[in-house]
Amino acid sequence: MQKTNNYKSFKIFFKNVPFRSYPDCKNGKGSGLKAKLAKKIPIEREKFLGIKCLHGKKIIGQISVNSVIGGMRGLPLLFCETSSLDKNKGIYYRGKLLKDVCAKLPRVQEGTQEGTPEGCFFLLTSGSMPTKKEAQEVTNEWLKRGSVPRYCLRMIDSMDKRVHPMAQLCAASACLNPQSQFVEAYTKGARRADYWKYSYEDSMNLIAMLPTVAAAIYSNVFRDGEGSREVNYEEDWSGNFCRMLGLPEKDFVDLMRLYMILHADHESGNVSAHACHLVGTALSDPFLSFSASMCGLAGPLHGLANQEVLVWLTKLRKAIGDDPSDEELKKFIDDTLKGGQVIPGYGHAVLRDTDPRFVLQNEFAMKHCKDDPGVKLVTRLWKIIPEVLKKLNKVANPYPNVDAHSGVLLQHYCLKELKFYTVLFGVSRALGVLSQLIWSRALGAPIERPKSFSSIEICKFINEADKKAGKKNNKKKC
Amino acid sequence: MSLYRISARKLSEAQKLPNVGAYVRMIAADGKSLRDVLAAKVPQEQERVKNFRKQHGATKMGETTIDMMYGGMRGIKALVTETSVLDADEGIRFRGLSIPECQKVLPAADGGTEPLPEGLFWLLLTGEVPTKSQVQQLSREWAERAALPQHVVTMLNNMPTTLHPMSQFAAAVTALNHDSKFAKAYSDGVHKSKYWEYVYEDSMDLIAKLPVVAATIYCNTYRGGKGSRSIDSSLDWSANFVKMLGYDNAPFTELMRLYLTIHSDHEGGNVSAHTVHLVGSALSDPYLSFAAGLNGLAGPLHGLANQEVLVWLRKLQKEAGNNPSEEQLKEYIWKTLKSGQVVPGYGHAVLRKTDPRYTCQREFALKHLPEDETFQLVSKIYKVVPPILTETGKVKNPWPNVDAHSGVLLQYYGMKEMNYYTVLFGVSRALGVLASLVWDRALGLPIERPKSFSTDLLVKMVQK
Repeated sequence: MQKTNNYKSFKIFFKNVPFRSYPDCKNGKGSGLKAKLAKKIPIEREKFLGIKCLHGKKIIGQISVNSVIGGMRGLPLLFCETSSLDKNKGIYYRGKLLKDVCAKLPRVQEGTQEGTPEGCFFLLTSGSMPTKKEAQEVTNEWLKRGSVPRYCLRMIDSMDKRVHPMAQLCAASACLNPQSQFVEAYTKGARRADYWKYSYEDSMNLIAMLPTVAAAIYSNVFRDGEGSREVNYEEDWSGNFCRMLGLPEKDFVDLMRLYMILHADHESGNVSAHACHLVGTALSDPFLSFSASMCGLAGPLHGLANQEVLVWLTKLRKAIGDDPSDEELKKFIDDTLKGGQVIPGYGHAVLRDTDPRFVLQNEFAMKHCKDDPGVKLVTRLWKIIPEVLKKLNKVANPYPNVDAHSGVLLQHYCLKELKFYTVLFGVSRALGVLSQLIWSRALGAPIERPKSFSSIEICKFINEADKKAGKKNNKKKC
Repeated sequence: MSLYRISARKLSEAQKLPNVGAYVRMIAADGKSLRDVLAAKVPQEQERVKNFRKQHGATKMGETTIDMMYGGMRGIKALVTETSVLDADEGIRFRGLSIPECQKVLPAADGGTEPLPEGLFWLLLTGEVPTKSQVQQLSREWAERAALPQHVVTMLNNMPTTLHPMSQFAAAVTALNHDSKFAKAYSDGVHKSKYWEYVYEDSMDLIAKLPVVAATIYCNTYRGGKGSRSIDSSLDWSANFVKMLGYDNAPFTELMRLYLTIHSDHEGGNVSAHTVHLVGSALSDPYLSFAAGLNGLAGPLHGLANQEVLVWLRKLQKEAGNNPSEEQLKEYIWKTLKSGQVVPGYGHAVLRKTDPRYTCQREFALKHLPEDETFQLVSKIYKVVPPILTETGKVKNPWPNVDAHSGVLLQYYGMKEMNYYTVLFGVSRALGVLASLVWDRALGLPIERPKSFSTDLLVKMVQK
């Protein structure tokens, strides 16, 4: 069933077929990003193979029964070139702290205060911080590719408005797959070394179309179909998106740029990134891989967290008003904990300090809307909740994560429909998962196929291991 | 202490399980429904897994190396899956039963000889072999749950026929999420210990509707929209499916029963099953989890393999004729290998002998279409290819897998649209992945979240 994909054949292939430069796009000068990738990929392949030769056999982790039943938590099983998560400092994009990324990304549009997601995608994909010109080129490229095929819009329009927006996003992504250049190339027998080029084209096309798809869903579900679906070539990706949502305010567009950057990538072990990678290793095209990714993001444990924060804050404000005293806040927090619930927006599976994404959103809030009641409340809670959680002595991380802030900011700018927030997350996450996908194809990541066992089989395995150990320990048998 | 003794006794009983017969018990009470059997079994299994973890949680299962990380976790023992286990030499076992054993003990339809997939689903879910009346009851229940909501029908009818059937399939399943009982129960705050009940309900609804969705796609894409979507409650799941597809052919219905049974599960590490498990671990409902799995199944390395076999066979027939000699075959096969291609339908990531799924299809063909020209060609290839692959010295498994045969059988009965075959695979795979998903929630398996590292970080780690 699976094609042979061993290291030797890959090496032979690589040596025998020296890398050739590819022709530019039809319309003149090629995309700066693609050219940069084409230059970088052979270098990274060589490095990749070198690591395998030198260190392939080295052990980097142990697998226990608990880790198998516990969802592989913490097991080092995946590689991810685009980002890495440090438990104290938070996420790094291509080796750069998030606050440095946000500070250094070029402000492309006149008068804007945030870097662009286009520049962020350039960074994640190429590994280099883009110049203003390079970031602008990505914007131009996405504008050119942004038109959604009519049949897809018709399909979105034919969906029942009660279908969850995330389900609609998954369906729409899957339905875009006739556009796939990867499928076309694969069918024609393209060389494996070139797969990344077609994944790149599909990824660029998909990202370019996502704002229109998402806005069409939003408009259908929440605004009776009103709103534009046409790309305005004078605006960037975020500007077009906000206008299509019917929220063209300049500060909101800046928030959207920031939001898209902050949610873009978070290693490849989270459910949405992992699903995209896993499906992609079967050589499904980027449209289907992204659709699978969004099915995962729709899961309440993964993508609904900022909504849960808002629900909790709404209950809080209803119970004790917009401007409660510290004592009232503490009591509400204690009541939540005693009710067996967690405080939504606080804690994280990996992080052990305040999530830098929270900090960056807070800085945005202090600059643009510090008088908003919701924002004020979030800032005050940030002072109180960690102290309360620390006293419990059983919380690994008492600090806020990204979800503690993102919903409040969206509310301030009148994007109030909670069900749509995960779609925003999904549009942003596309930047990370698709850049990872391009690199998986570039490095020839083989099909992902771990071994599974039933618990009965695991018992057998343990019994055999015990026999081999010669009953050193008097362990109980299964 | 007495509780501990009881648990120890159960574990002691589990220790005897290598005896295959012990895996499966015949049901004494004939009248129990699938839901009842499951509800009785879930607390027992929860207790067993809990005690197992307490005693052996820290036991080492293996190690991970950098090669394994870069190699797609190949062989890494990282997943627990109760419904089936894949042995490299013996092939797949569904709850301990091999395919021949399943064919022997699972109930067949009246007048048929192949096992009904309904019975296999019961087995996968409960670990027990159902009676014939229990299987019939399940058929009726699926028939009752089969109707599609109008908005999904509308959506399917709005899809262009140029859209790949698998994309249509994934999109339609996604849209069915609107009726998810799990998603509703979750948002209503249901207790974690009851998650499995809602996953069960969604899974039953979804499996019931899949043939209708799949047949609608087939008729829209290949038959100009003609054909019926109505379910006949006196027919079983496969018979209804074949009827809706527009085929009136008893042996084809038998083939469909066999096909849907043998493609249903192949442990938990394959891309579609793993994707369903992964997405489901974030508590996405069964519809979204299954849709994600379908996107993986659409990948050419996973779900398109039987099409690649057919394409290759056609090229062979065009070049060497419909009835080539063994010498001509050998020549063509060597040519394929020397051009850097693999022989499609041969080899497998885990299996190291002839795939039992291939074998049972071969037996079906010997019984129903022994004179068919293409079948005879496949048979001849089966004779010629393994020695050649063995001779190359670099193939771990020279034997055929399921894909070497499945397309040929479908072609024989007139279903020639190759792009549609993965949809059939998807309908079948639902039985395994959804049964497994019910158990994931029953056992409270947490979100799957392995750690990832960049190459630079790995270098730092190993150089310490």
